[in-house]
Amino acid sequence: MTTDAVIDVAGKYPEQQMAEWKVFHIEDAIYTGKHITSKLEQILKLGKEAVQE
Amino acid sequence: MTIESMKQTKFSERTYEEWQAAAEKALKGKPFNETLKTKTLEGITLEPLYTKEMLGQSGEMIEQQIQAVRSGKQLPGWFIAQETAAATATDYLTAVKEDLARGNEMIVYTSYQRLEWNDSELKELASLIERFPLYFRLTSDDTQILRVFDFMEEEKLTNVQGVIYSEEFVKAPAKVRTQLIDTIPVHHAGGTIIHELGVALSILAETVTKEDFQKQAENTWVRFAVDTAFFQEIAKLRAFRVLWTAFCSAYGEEAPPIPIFTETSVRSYSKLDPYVNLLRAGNATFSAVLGGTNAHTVHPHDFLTVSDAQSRRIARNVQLVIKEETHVNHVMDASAGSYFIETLTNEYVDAAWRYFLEIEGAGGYSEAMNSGWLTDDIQAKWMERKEKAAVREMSLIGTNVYANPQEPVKDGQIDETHLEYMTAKRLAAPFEKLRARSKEVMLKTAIVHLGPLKAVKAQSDFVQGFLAVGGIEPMISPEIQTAQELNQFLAENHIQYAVLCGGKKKLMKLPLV
Repeated sequence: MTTDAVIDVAGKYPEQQMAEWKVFHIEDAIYTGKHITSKLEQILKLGKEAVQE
Repeated sequence: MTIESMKQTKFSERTYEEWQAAAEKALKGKPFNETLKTKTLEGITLEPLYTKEMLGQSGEMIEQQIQAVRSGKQLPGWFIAQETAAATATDYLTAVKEDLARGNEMIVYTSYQRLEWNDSELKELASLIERFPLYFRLTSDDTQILRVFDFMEEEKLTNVQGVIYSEEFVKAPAKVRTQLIDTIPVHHAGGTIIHELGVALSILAETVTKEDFQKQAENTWVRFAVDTAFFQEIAKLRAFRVLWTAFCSAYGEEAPPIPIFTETSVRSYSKLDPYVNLLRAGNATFSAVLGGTNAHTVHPHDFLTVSDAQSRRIARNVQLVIKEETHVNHVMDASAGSYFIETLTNEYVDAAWRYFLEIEGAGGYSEAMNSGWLTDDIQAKWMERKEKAAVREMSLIGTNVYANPQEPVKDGQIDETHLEYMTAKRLAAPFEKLRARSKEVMLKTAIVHLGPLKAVKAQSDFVQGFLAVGGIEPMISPEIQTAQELNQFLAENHIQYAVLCGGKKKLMKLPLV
């Protein structure tokens, strides 16, 4: 992918699969049981950085 | 079929084993214990079904339990004790009279108001106190209101009833209790039911002495916050009465009744979607009533921001509706004999008594607090509880599930003199922080559909709900089939964060490089 966007995938996948997808810039996964506060903090940080730039 | 033949209808008796077999069949291979049994934070296992046989295992103990609850409560019903707010003593008196006329049953004064009282205002208050029980919570710099007793005749003073908590020693009328056993600080620090009950006993152990036991017991009252775990909270209050009886027995004394004052817990209250707080309050209040509270306060649904006359009225009505619609105030102990609640009460009694002995073993309440042992233990359970909310094993409707990202969130805060609530640990706090932050940042997000809507809808809705918790409203892409289309969509819309929906097959088909 040529975009600068941070890309996640919906659903839970094995670690090995996620590692393979890293090369396609898929960073993380969103699924039931995901630690929602830390994930959302991480996502919102992207916005803050964009504003500061 | 007539009603007569219906009355003759008999149902065959089923055993627990037969029920379990049917349940296992319905679970289609999911493990029975893991799916249907729930372990509480206190380490107690909630069964999917409670039977008479299970209750029978505790036999005589249950009878004693029911007796302890009944003799502790003494009378059915409870006092509606809503806080009255005002800026001046004159306004306070007007508001109190109005509240009493509209269903409030106690004169509630808390020091966060710090009102200045003159003699004529105190005289008027005295005339109310002759007729209604009082409930004062005072700080050391706000005891002026206690002069109210100077304006009452000796004969009338002997009839005054109620409770006072003061940081300073209080000389109060004979029927006004002034020794508070307060479990709310433990609750606000994140403690479990076992912490609350165990600490209540250990404070009692430090407070009463063998020499003056009955006199001190008759001057004691206890305060609990009631959270939303419906059955557990009922069992908590009932367990306290059983534990008090056991405590008195250890001193070789009969247990005089101790009034239990309860209030809705702010631990589950949220600034987000605050009307849900009304449901939480209703639930907690019904628990408190079934558990045998003597006086109860409902915090308004907007208590965490700034409550107004309307929300205070609704809060009072929560109690009035329960009282008027259910008639539960005519029943002494409505949950007595319930297989579930009796078993749970019994389990809390056992666990809390063990915990009490543990605190005593650590040198008693003060020593356990000073050494940090008790605080650390409570903090560890709070972290567990917080983690459950963070992974959404524990739901807070409108806050960590079913959030509305467009909802305008009220900015107010609890009055800073209401310190005990300001510092209370709340499950919603991290989510409120996230939502506030989302308003400050500019972030372009998207949910990318890698297949037709029908195929990706479940995932897409899930992700939308997940992001909504953080106040994030993503764009929804049209169906995207190639990497080129994906890049184009992300670039054209200046997307900074996206979630791909479509499952592994779709992802594998998409030439992402």
